[in-house]
Amino acid sequence: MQLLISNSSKEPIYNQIKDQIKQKVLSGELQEGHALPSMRQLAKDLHISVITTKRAYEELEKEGYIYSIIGKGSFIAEQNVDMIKEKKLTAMEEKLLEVIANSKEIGLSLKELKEWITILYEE
Amino acid sequence: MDHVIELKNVNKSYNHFSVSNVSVQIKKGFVTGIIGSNGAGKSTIMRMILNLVKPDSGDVHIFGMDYAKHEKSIKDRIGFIYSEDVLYDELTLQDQKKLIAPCYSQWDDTLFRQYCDTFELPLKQKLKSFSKGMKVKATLAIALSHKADLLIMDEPTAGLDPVFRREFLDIMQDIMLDGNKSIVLSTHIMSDLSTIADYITYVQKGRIAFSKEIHELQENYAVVRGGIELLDRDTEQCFLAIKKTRTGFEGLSANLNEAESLFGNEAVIEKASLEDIMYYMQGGKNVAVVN
Amino acid sequence: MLLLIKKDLVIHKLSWLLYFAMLLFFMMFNKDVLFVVAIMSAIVIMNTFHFDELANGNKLWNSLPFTRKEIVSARYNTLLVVLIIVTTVAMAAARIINGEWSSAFSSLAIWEEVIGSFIVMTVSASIFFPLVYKFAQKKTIFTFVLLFIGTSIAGAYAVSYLYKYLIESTSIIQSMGNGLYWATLAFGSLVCYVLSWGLSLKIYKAKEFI
Repeated sequence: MQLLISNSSKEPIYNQIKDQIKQKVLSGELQEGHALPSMRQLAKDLHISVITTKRAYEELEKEGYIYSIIGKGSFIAEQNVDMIKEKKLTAMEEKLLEVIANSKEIGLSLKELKEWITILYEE
Repeated sequence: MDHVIELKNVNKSYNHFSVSNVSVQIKKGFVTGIIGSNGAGKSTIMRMILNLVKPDSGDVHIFGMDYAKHEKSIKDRIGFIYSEDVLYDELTLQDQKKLIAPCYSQWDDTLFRQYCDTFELPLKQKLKSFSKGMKVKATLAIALSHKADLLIMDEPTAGLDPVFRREFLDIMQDIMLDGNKSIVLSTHIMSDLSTIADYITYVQKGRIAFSKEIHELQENYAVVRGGIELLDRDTEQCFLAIKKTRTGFEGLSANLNEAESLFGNEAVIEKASLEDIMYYMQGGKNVAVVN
Repeated sequence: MLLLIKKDLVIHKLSWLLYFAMLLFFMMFNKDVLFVVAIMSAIVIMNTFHFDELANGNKLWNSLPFTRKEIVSARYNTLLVVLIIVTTVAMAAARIINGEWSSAFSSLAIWEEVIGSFIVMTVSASIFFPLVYKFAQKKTIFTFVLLFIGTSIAGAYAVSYLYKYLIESTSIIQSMGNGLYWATLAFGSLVCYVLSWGLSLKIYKAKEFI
C-alpha cells in the first residue's frame, strides 16, 4: 500500500492517511478483507509517531471503512461503494450547477467551459 | 497496566531551584518527549525516574513498583542513555559488555552482536578511541540488548550530527514496533520529537506546564501576528504569551479556533511549532506571559 | 554483589601487571611485607575509585540493576580481596627473593607484618572511604588517591615503630603477650571498618548522581 505524506501540508498527517486510504477503498484498490499494515509498522514506514497512525485508524474505524481484530490487525470493512458513490455524485451535481450558473453570469459558453474542464481534468 | 511511569506530587528542592508538585503519567507503548529549557527541571525529573536523585516527598512508581522495595527488578527492565559518557575509556567495548551483560537477567548476546554490526562498532578497540556518536551507539547497543521495556534517554542526540540523528530515530521506530515498549526522552532538538513523540510533557520552572498528545499541540496551538490595535484587555485573554514589537504583536494561543474567530483575516494565524510553544511560554526577551 | 567485586578488579586490566612489577621492585629493595602490602593495596583500591569516577561509574552502576547498598558493600569487600591478593603475591615474592619468610629489615615476624598491613589498610580505608563517597568528584578524586596512599605508607611505619617503641620502652606487649596485642589491634580496626561501612552506606544512600 502506497501512501504519500507531506510534513509541510496544513492538513494534519492523520487526515492525509485517512483520506488516502478512503480513496483507495472507493477506487477499489483496497478490497474488503484486505489486511492493512499494523499501525506501528505504518508509523515506522512513514517516519511518524505511533499515535498519528493510531488516530487515523481509529477514525477510519469509526467511519466504517476498516475494522480491527485484537491481535490480528486491521482490515478493510465491507463497503457499500455504490451508496458512497451516489452521495458523492449528488454533492458534485450541486457544485457543477453552481459552476454553470457562474459561467452563464459571465457569458462563458458550454464549449469553452468543456475545454476548460478538459484541460484541468487532464492536468 | 497502562502507565510505565507514574509520578505523584513529587517535590525536590535545592538551594536555588525546586521541582514542585510534579505529577506525570507516562503511557505504555508510546514515546514521550520531555521538553523545557536548561534548568527547567527536566533532568531532575529524569533522574528521579531513575532513582539517581531521591524526591523529598511524593511517589515514584515504575512499572507500578517503587524503588524502595523493587529497585533491582525495575532497573533490570530499564535501558538508559545519557548525554555524557558512562563507559570506561580504558576498556574495549567487548570488555565493557562482559562487565554489564551478567548484570541483566535478559541479556541477549546475539542481539548485542547484531547491534554492534549494524552500528559498525569495533568490539576490540578501546572506548577512548570512539567518537561521540560511536559512544552513544555503544550505550544504545547495551541498552537495547537486555530487552528493556522502558528506555530512558536524557538528551541522547545532543552533539550528534543530523545523519546519525536520523538513524537514531529509525532505531527508535524499530523499537516501537513492539507495543509493550515505551520510550521517554528529553531533548532540545524539537524536530526529533515531532517525528516520533506521541506525547509531549513540557517542564517549566520546576513544574509541569502541560502534558499532552502531540496532535492536541499541533491542532490547537497557534502563533498570531497582527497590529497592536487588535489587542485590548479582552483579546489579550486569548493568548498564553504576547510579544509586542514596533511592527506589531506576536502571540501564542492555545486555541486556534478562538483565535480565528476573534481575529479572522485581520491577523496572520499560523500553527505553532514545538519551538514556538517553548519560546513563548518560556517568556523570552520582550515576551509578556499572560496570566 | 560478586559482579561488582569482579568489576572492581577487572577494570584495572593490564594495570595489574604494572602493580605486580612495582610490588617486585619494592621487594627487591628489601622493603618489608607490611610496607609493600600497604602501599600496593592502597594504589589498587584508590585506582578503582579513580577509574569509576572518571567513567561516571556511579551513574552507570546505579542505573544498572544494583542497589546502593550493594555498590558500597562491594567496595568494602573488594578491599579485603585486594589485600588477600597483594599479601599472597608479596609473601611469595619475599620467599623467593629472600629465601625465607621474613625480610632482614624488619623486626616483625611475617605473620605480624600481614596482620599489621591488614590493620593499616582497614583503618585508612575506614577514614577515607566515607570521605571519598561524600566529597570526591572527577576533579578532586586524584587528591584523595594521593592522600590515601600517603596515609597508608605513614600507617605502615606507625605500626612498626609503635611495636618497636612498646617493646623497647614499655612492658605492655610483654605482659599481654604478642598474640593478644595483635589480636586486639586487628579487632579494633575491624570494628572501625564495620562502623565506616555503615557510615558510607548512609552517605551513599543520600547521594545524588548528576
